Amino acid sequence: MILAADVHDRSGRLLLRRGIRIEDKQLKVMQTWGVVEIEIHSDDAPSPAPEMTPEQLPAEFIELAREQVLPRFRHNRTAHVMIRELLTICIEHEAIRLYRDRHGHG
Amino acid sequence: MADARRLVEGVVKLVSLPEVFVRLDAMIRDPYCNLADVADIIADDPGMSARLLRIANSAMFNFPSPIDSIQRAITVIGTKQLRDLVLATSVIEVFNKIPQTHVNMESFWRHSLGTGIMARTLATCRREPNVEHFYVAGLLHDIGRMVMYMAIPHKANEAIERCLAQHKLLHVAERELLGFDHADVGAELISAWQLPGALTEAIRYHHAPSRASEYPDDAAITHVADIVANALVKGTSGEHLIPTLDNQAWSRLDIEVARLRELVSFAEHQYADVVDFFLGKEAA
Repeated sequence: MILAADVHDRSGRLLLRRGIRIEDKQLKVMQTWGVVEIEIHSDDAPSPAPEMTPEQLPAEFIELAREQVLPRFRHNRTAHVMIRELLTICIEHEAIRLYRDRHGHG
Repeated sequence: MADARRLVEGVVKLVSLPEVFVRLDAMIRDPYCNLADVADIIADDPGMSARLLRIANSAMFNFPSPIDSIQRAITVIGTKQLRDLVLATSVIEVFNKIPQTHVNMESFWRHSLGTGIMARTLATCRREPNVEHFYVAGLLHDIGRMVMYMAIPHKANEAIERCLAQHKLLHVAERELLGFDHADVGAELISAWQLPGALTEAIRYHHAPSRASEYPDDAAITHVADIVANALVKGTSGEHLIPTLDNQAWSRLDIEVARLRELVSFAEHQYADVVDFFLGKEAA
């Protein structure tokens, strides 16, 4: 099943982001963190997506990934050459993950 | 640092290092020891022997033929390197035996293993002679946070909540609340365990590597590895933001930025195998 909404614990801390595929293992972990209810997408999963490279991904996934990743770098100068490269790698990883979650792959 | 030391004194009896490591460490320091003596000590602990053989046959080493005995593992990996792998395995076992209600252990070890493997990868790239030493430093860099979850769980969680509300880095919030941070606590634990000074300094200064005076390379590698592991979201020890990169530490590594992608990919390949080993069925 795929999460339809972000999951927070009782203190409001983000545990899992929407779009993530959930297995029994994650359900048990969430229970131990006091989560009693989650929203999921219907189980009518679309057919698996093919393997994608970052260049092949639709731009919307890169943009969505950037929105999610960039705030986590708030204490770093994104103009720094190493941070810029790390940020690019993280955005690509996140975009591929979002794409796979959306298309029921991996 | 007195408060951090007092915190460690309160828990150190609960988290003593196992006999096999203490004996092995003493043996390796003995100039008259030989490989067979070292192998005998490890063979006395069948669980440890099995774990070491699994690590030796994992993607971390990628040897062309299987390593089927401890003696062969010592020959191909090295005595000091094996000692460091025993230390890493021991510490995870010690803390996993203690019921922890205030921390998600799997997430904690995912971040620790991710940092350890990234530190090992950076050390390999720099052709350091004992890369396992850096693996241990990365693996244990946040161990002070585990002590804080055990000794002062409410303060530890208060620091996390302050970070979430105010978008602060966790070590900064800890210092505001307590006057010290998890890096100080971790260094005190390593010191109480009488482990090498290089490890103490790598852990104490993993958020302030430019302050490391004796082992600046160790602190710099641990610092950068922690940032990369946090960025790639390999679990978390409580931090939800990416710690600030110290430019001086990055320059000290002397690694071309164009290699970062390849190093991340190399580390991720090993990470999957090592996490499966430590956090899969075997570690349950």
